[in-house]
Amino acid sequence: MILLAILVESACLWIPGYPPDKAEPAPDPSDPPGSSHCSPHAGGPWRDDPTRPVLLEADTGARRFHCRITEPDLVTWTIRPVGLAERSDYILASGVSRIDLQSDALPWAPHPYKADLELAVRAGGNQQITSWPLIVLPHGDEFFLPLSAPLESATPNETPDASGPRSGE
Amino acid sequence: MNTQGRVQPLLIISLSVTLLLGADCEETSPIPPARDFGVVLHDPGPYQQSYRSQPGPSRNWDGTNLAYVEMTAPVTITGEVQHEDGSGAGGVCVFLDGSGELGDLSGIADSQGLFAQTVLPSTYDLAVAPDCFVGTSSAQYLEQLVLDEGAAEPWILADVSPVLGQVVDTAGEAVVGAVVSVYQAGRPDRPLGVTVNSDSLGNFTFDVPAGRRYDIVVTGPADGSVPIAPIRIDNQVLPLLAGLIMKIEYPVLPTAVVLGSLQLTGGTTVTGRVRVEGWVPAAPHGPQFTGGAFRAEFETDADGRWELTLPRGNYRAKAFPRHADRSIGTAVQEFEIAVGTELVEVDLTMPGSTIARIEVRQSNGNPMVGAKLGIHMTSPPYYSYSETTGADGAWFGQLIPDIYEVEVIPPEQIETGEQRFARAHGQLDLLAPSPSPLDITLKRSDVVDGFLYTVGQTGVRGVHVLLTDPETGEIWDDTVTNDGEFPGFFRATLPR
Repeated sequence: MILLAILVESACLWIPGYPPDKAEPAPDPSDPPGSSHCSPHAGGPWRDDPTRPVLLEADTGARRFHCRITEPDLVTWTIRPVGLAERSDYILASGVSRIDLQSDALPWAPHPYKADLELAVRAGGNQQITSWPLIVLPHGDEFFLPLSAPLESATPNETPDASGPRSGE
Repeated sequence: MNTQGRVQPLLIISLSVTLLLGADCEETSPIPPARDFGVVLHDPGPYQQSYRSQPGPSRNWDGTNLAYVEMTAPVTITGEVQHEDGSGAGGVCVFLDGSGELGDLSGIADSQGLFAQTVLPSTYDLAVAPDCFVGTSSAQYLEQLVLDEGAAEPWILADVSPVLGQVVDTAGEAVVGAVVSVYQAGRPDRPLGVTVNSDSLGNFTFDVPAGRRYDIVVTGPADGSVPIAPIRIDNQVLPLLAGLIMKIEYPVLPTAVVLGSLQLTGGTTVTGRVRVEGWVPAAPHGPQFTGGAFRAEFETDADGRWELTLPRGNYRAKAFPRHADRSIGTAVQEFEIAVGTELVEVDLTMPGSTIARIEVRQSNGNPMVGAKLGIHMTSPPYYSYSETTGADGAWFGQLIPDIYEVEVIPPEQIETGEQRFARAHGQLDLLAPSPSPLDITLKRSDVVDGFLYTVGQTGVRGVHVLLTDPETGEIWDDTVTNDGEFPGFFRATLPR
């Protein structure tokens, strides 16, 4: 009780050994140089039969991919379309630990397609590759919605209807 | 201190006494003010096999005690994807759409159609996709399923029937290479993952569950090689009665050849990614076509040239620089294909970049040396870069003209007793006529010690904790809970 009273008096409770070092806490042993704690969970590239495909829908908005990256020498985020003819890989970001993948940043196609999002981290002399298998879905209205800025010469009858012109059965 | 991760005694004590830890006790500075913070938790689980990531409600730190964060315990749900005859459907993708981004989960059923997933108990929309949406097998959507621990009702894939169709123009010519996609009726956000191409006779076939209503969208392919704008057949019961063939009829529209080139301001040609978008107005004949957006995206040839045949309409071509090349900007060119036009030349000239300057100061006005800058574009192609402030607390360099979100990640401070700074954010506008430097002053911040626990007040080790602004969601700091002697404890920085 005396000890407790002292602690209350000084508004201080000391837990032996914690924190290990105020100014520079010891690095977490599960967090070596490189990337870890990725969200969503990495699922590997399509060629390796991944188990966790990530769905990217046009109306979802940005989908955040985030890892904890420690002591990196080089960080690169690349999108690799799978099965889209004659489409290149695109580097989307470098050096950052997160990207917000916007649907209109992705290669466009009128149909669903696969892609791999790849995070390459070089740290501590090692190269680490983290991959997410993506499925990119189009939105059926995007074929009938106005462009991001309306074109001037569209006449009233030709102005795209936001609800989308629809033909009957 | 209980090294097994159970700290109930600590929690009880903390309710009755003011708790300061370690070196904090030695400080004579005033008690930091209380404040709220948001939290997002990413738990990789053992070998990243379990989903336990979750957002959390806003928390409060009183400035002295531990900040306590409770993590909801996940459950494992199991399900089975079956055909109508009760047999298991193997290899099917299952997507769970729960509340918030962290509720978007997925998995692939095993060869027997069995599926297991670690989730937070909640209500989910499910998409069950035999080809993972990429093929010709129809996905099925299941809404508002309550998923809790244990086995769910079997998810049944309905039997399918063939649908035959043909894409032609009003002159009777086959449209070859048209892309035919099927959506759930009235739900343009729900493609069924059924995509086929018209063949050399304009014919196509696909399979969908019979007797339901669908929207069918017919477009050109992604590379723009078929000059047609989209047609949508609405609310169509499939298959058609008596084996009728679905006929998609395009009006014969005037077209023109577009010869494009991509070059720098000085005239040097470059390769790049080009996106062409336009609006093709309705035509007096071909009643199924009521106007639509033409879209295509492709890579230029090695000499920077590209060629398309486009139907009449108004278009915009846009070219994006490569990520690595920050010396050039995005090119945009609008053009029109009018009736009677046979050839249009579109020269996309990529302008120069803009010099940007970002200055970071500490709360006392001194320059913040060695701060890491995350620089994110806010419009296509949404590139992100990382830079570091120099000895004057500033960075300057080339960027593609755009509006950027900038995140400042201050360096760790090694001087004993000196607080680190929480992250700060700003917006850099390089589209203004005379862009101003972005000046960010870091807020005075305090170190907070926290404890992440779950059922039984057990500390959860190795969880990535993002501490955020509860109003904007912007990240103030990130850390990982202790995975060693003090499981669940974490240390982070919050701004005042």
